[in-house]
Amino acid sequence: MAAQQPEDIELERVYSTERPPRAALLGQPNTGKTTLFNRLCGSRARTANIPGTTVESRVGVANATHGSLEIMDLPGIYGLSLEVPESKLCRDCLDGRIGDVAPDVAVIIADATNFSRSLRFASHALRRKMPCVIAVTLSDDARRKGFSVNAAALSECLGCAVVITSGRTGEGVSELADAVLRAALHGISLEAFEERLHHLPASTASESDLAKWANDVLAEVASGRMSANSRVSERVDRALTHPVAGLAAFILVMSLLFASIFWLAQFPMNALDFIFGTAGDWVRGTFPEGPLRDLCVDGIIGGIAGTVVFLPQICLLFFLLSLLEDSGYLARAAFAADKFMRRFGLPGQAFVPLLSSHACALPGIMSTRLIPDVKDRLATILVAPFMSCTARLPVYVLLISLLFAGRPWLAGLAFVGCYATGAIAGLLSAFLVRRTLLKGPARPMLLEMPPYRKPSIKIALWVMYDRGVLFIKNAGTMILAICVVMWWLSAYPKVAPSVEVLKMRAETSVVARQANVNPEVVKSLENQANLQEARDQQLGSMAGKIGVIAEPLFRPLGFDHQLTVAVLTSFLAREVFVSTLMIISSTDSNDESSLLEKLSQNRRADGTLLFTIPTAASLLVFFTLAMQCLPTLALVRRETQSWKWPLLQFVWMSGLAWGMAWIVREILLTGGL
Amino acid sequence: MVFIPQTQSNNGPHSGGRIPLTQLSRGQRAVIDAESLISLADADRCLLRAMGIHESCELKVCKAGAPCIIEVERTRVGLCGSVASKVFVKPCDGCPAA
Repeated sequence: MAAQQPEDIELERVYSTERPPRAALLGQPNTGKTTLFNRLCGSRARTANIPGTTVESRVGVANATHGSLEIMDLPGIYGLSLEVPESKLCRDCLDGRIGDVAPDVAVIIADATNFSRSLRFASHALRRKMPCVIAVTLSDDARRKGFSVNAAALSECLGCAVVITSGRTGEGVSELADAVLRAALHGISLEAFEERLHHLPASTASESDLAKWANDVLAEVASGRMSANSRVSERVDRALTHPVAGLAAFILVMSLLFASIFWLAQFPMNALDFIFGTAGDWVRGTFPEGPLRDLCVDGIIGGIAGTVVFLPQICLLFFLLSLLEDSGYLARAAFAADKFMRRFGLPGQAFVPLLSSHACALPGIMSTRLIPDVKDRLATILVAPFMSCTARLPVYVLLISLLFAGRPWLAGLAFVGCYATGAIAGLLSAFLVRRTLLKGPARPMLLEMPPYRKPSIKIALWVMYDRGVLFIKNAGTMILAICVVMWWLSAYPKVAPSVEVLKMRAETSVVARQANVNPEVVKSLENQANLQEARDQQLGSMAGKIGVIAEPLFRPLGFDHQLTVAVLTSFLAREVFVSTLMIISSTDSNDESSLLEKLSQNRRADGTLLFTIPTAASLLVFFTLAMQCLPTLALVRRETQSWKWPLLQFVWMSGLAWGMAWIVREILLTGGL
Repeated sequence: MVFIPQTQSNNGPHSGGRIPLTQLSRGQRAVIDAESLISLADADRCLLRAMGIHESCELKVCKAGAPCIIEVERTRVGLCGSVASKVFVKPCDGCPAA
């Protein structure tokens, strides 16, 4: 075993008394920064918002020979001095203006495959008075293309430590951790900093001078010359951004992505549904009847089920997005969609979140992190819930079946109309919000097209896991709390069985005692009594009472107090609407045709039909546009770090839904329907 | 003095042979000179420079038109029409289209 050097002993001493040094990875996008971070930290990393911001950063722990390091992966930026939010955030982070403590060391990423540009970037970063280490990344890729960097010579040229690394192969990763630790230990003296500045071009140097300086350094420290970019990739680029072929490829890829989320996720979702249903049944059968059992079954298990049911779609979406991003396609897709999306004030990157929102708004909103500009991202978050998600489908099916019974073509058109209405409302709302609340010049598309690479399944799995955990830990807890509160509102106060219910139960007992009675008849009578009791409970609960109070608000749309209760409970989640209607209409849950029949004959207190064509149509329009998803609001609160935006979203969407529903009803009434 | 780019006049001899990036054809090479980026907004100009598209650099058009894709050094960058039409370049003589 080698004897310990005095410096190693010093490191150990420092480690026994002080917090682990913190290093910030600073680099341009697509330079192998995140792959290097993954190599350094492995699974000991987590994603978190940089304190006080909505910008994500990944923080992990890396092992050096004599201790551990805290590594922070800052957002990829093109320059530290740029006046864009990401650059400002990196500056603030390096200066210790945000976060609990400023990093001790800046690890400047220099992409070996684009070395001249990386040197220019490094020259700015090195002007900060802090210990710096240069990590030359993608060195294996560069060597394959005939280019290599001499670390010692570069270190001499720049006046700081240089380590040649490859995140893909792990080359130089432990050396980098050691170099960072040493830099943290030694700090930087004024003399050393002045010496470093001496190596760098003047701060006032023009880009041409900087380029000349970078080329001089390159000539001194590098050997070989990178082979030119492949003509094949240029051809692929042309095809993927072609107005026709590019659009076709885009539609194909996005259709596959959408179909995967929509179709593939249903299997784990059904499995989760079954598991939680079985757990609920077990608790119901095991525990004595009472409020505690109700809380466990309907509040907690129901709430957890309502949270984790979104996980398959979220995990699948992020797995696929990671593969697409890693492959380099996502930048081309954003390029292809940009022209269309710009008309509505949104960037090309907004297309994927909006498409994903057609499966579920939650993963769609989470994927807005792909959008670099804060205003663009916020606008996309605000309009994403307009897209018709899967939770709206049961309501569409029910109401369209009511409106167009026996007319399948019209029913099909109505379905398309619902999806189109949501999408158009979302895009027009984006147009409006970008010209009012989020006014300001849109960031024009200046998009780097990263080289095509084979996507890493390992990274995609890691991203999937990370996103899933993040969702459960942050949004999931809030969703669960909301579910429990909503359950309480709809379950309490307990309503004593009404005279009608008691009478129905007495009749059931009489029938059951008769000889040769058909058990199905008894079961049906029992069901009728149970449904009537549930209906009384629904109307007598806190939510039911709120429904009665809120009824005047919905009267112009043709809703009576029962329908108002159903609409209000659906603010928990849209799909709750159908089950509430079943209870209110006293319908057996296994018989959808029976529900349709009952609904079509349902009458108001004054004896008129409830579900007339104008009322059913206004209800359909209301559901297409209204913000009826508390989990989404909870997630928007988390993503925007403010209640202002989810409240605005709720008021705008619900107000628009009310207005459009009223207009549709009035038009149909005027037309004599 | 405000520089107002006008496609026609900038095509003439007084413009020093500079044309908007959007007028280059695929495979054509050009040089960005001292005044090429002057009509861009400050933020866009700084970002382009940081991305490696700076004065005195040579570029190649990978996808012509608006939006377009250019290659500088080894970086490919997609530019929307509004930016590309304000980047004036000098086509390289003797650089045949690919």
